[in-house]
Amino acid sequence: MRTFFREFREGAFGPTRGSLAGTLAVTLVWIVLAAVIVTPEFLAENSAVALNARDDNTRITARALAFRYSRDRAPMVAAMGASGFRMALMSPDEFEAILEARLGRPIEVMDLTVGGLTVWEIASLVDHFPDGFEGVLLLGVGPGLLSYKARDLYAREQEIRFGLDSETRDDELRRAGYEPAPSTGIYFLDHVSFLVSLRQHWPRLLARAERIYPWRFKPWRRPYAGAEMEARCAMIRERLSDYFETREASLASLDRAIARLRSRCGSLEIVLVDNPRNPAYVGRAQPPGVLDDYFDVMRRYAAERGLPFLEANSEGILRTGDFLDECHIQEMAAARRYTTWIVNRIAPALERMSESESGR
Amino acid sequence: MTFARLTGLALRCLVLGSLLFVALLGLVELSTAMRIFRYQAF
Repeated sequence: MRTFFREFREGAFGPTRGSLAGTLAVTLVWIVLAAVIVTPEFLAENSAVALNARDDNTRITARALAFRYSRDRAPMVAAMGASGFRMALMSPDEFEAILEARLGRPIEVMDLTVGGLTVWEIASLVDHFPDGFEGVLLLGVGPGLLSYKARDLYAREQEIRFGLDSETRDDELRRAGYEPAPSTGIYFLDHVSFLVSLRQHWPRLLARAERIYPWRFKPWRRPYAGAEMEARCAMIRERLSDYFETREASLASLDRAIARLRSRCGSLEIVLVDNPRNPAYVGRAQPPGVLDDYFDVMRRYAAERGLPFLEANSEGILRTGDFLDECHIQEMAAARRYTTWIVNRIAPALERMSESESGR
Repeated sequence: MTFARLTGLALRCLVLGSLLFVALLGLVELSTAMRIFRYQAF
C-alpha cells in the first residue's frame, strides 16, 4: 500500500514529461465538450431562461434563437423595442390573452424587447425571424433609438449583450468602418464572451430546469419626482444630444434592417409604435426641438414606406400616474390599457392574414 | 509505468487541464471587461 501511494504521488507531483501534453489534452476535451453541448439549438431549447426581470440579454438571445428555429408559420405578433416599450407591454401570456379575446383565436406573441435596444441590435434580431414569418412586427421607436453615434453603437456591441450571429449587423459594422469579429462557425468559440457572462445560468441550463418568465409588473420603486426627476431628465437630454447628427444614419440602418426582414418574410405588417412618454415631461426630457423634429421625421418616414405609426400620447392613452419616470410605465393597469390599444389597432391586419391563410 | 503512477498522472492532468480551461474562460471575461472599458461611452 505504501508503495502504491509513493508511486501515486510520484505520478501526481513528480516531474513527468507527459503531464503537459495530458493537461493540454484535458483542456481540449473540455473545449470540444462545450462546443458540442452549447449550440444555438441548446440555448433555443431553454428559450425562457432568465435570472430575474431585468435579465434581458440572456432571455433575448435564447428567445431569438428559439424564434429562428421555430417551425410554426401561423400569423403571430413580434414586439421589438427598448425598455420604454418593454415596460408598456403586458407579458407575452397576457398579451396573447388580450389578442385571443379580441380575435377569438390564439395568436402567439414573441417578445424581443430589450432595454437600450440599438439599430444594430435590431439588425441582429431581424436575422432571427424564421424564414417565411407571417404576422405583425411591432417596432417601438423614439428619439433615443435615433441618437446613437456609430462609436456608441460599436461600444454597445463590445458589451456583447447577445450571443447572436447576424449578417445584417456585420454589414452595419462594416459600413461604419468597423471589422466584425472573426467567425469560426462554431457557436461556443464565436460567442465564448457572451457564454462566459452567463455563468450564473450554467447550472440551470445544464439541468434543463423549469422555464421561468419573470413577472415584470412588480413595481420597482416609487415614481421619480422633484430634483431626482429633474436629474433624470437632464441625463436623458444628454443622451439625446447627438440626435440631429445621428438620426439620418440611424433611419438608414433601420431601413436596411426592414428591407432584409421583408426579403425573408411572407405576409409581414410592420407597425412603428411611438414609445410611451410621461405627459408631464413631454419636451422636458429632450433637448429643444428634438421631439418636434422626431415626429416630423418619423411621420414622414412611416408615410413614405406605407407603415402605420401609432402614437399613444397623441391619442391620450397614457396618464402621468402610469409612469415610473419620463418614459417607463410601471402600473399594470396602464400596460393593459396600452396593450389593448395596440391589439385593437393591429387586429384588422391579423384578421386579414388569418383569412388569407385559411383560404390557401 | 505502474498503475499507481499512471492514476496520479491522470488525476494531475484532469485537475490542471480543468483549471486551465477555467482560466481561459476567465481570460475571455477579462478581455471583454477591458474592451468595454476601452469603448465605454454610456
